[in-house]
Amino acid sequence: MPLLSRWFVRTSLIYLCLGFLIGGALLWSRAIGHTGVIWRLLPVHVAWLLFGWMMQLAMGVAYWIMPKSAAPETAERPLTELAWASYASLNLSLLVLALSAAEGHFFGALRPASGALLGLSVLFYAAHLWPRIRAVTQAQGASR
Amino acid sequence: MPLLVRTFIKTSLAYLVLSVLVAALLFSKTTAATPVLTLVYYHLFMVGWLTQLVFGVAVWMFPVFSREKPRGNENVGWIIYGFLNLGLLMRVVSEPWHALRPNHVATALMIVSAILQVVAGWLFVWQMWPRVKGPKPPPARSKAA
Repeated sequence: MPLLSRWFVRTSLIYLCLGFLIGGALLWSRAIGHTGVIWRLLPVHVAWLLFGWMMQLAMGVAYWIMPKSAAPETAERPLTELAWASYASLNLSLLVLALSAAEGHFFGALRPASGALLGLSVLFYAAHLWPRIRAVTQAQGASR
Repeated sequence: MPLLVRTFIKTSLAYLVLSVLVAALLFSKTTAATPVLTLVYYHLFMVGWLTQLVFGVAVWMFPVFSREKPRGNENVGWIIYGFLNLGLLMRVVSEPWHALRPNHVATALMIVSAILQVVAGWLFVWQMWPRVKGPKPPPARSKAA
């Protein structure tokens, strides 16, 4: 598994731990009828599990298993800087979203920034992966 | 495909069917139970189907733990499967029950359900963490060669 995939997958596992923990705390608080400050974390629970765990895991695995090169004559993954930028902006977005759950006008205003970073992340990732999605050439197929 | 993986994936498919049936029920009519059934639907779909499918495929496809134990400790894998599904089923029963008629049994079931699912998630991470690794370095050539 290449280095960036290991970063994506391990970070996704951390979000799985944290997202399940918040989810467990929310279910517990619902059971005892508590409607306090913990419910501010509901959007964080959803985003960390949907984007931090599921999407990030898929991004890490796709980076690993998709055809490596954009062109058959090269063996290197193209535009890896874009994939790293995608990793960075995705995780910055999820951390900014968690900050936005805090009390106060300033923190609430962070939510659009989190959304913009998430959008950038998927754009970077799509730009990286797009040229790698291609047919296997006859020569490559025969050499398998 | 090993038995544990097949069990994860087949159970995830059963949850997919169940969650879509709940969704169809939600689409067809609105009742007092609609808000809590919506939550049940989300969790049947996201935990029962998607998360469980990912768990099964990851146990199957990730780099092996070791030559002797390619998938790590399989008993822990079965505990993860048991805790995740028991926790989810307890939630599916107790959450609507608690919403419609709050009582101590439903409260206790929800708390146990929360603990089981969190422990299942953490055990999965503990099992998979060492399997997220790079390729083996090529064997060093001896100087004589």
